[in-house]
Amino acid sequence: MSDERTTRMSSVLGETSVVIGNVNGVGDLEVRGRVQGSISLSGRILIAETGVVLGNVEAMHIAVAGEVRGDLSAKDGVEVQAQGRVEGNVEAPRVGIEAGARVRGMLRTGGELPSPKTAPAAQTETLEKSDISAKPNGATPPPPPRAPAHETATVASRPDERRNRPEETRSRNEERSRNEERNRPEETQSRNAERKEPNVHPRRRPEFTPPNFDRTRKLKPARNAEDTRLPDETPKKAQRKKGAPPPPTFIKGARGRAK
Amino acid sequence: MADTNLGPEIIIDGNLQSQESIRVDGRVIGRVDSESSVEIGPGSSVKSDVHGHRVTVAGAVAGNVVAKERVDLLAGAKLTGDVRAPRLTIADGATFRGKVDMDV
Repeated sequence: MSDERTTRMSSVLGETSVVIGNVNGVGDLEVRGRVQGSISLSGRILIAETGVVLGNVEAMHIAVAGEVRGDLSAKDGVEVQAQGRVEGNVEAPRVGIEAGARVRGMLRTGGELPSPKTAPAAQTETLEKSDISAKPNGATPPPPPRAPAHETATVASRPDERRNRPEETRSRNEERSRNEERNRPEETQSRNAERKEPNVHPRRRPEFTPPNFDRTRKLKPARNAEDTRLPDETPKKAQRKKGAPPPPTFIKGARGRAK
Repeated sequence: MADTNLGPEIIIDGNLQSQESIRVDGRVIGRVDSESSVEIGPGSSVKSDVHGHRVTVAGAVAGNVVAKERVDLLAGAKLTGDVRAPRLTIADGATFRGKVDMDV
């Protein structure tokens, strides 16, 4: 590890260098400066501590000690060192993230591994690691649930629980006084507000827009589905319909089935 | 060794700019700007202007070359474009087509 970081590669972009455009070719490259564009090489790429890449990076092996805003895709492995910062998806058979590294994005490892069962385990493991390493820095919120369902099953179950809770309390409160019921929508609204906060993923902010970076990929369907399922007005509607005969068990059961 | 060094099979599709010295052995399809020396190695090519304090060309350049100190065209260099520099040397075997302006 120590040798790799100190040895000079055949191609070097110096600290003060700026490349506006794409870099392609054969061989190794060390980026100490800034590249505004994608890099695609057949060899190894080292993004040094002073290096910044705003674009996708493709290579045989990628080591990041600097900053990358874009997707990383390696045929061999991706290594994010302790000082490294990555905002983008990472895809490689082997992914290593050192403690202290900041990674925000989807990790996909084990693309060429023989057994499919080992891949999801490795994914969740790396996700947790990046979570832990991200927390001490304070500024970075935990990544929201955005990966395929099997990866983040535990995370995805939480919104479901929250969704059910107001309905249960509603059926219990049917016999209570109206004053109490009026308070409830505010509660649920505040809950909804809490819920919505993590949905605004930092990558949706305009500053995180590396070129050729498909932000919306794999994220949109889940987010939309949640939003449509949880309108703020649901408690009020239920309240109005209360004049008609509403069997509470029917509502409960119907929601449960629909889910 | 130059601070920025592009290997023989590296292609930059865009501009390259630096405050330090640059050596290009690959291809740059765009400008090369440096406040220090620029070397265009043999077998390399630059498809646009080259600016630097001191520019040495041994490869192919299709564009203007501007240097604050001097421009050296080495043997095997192929320059299609104008040169603007207070000093200019053209080695035997270099190909050059363009104008020269030494009133800088």
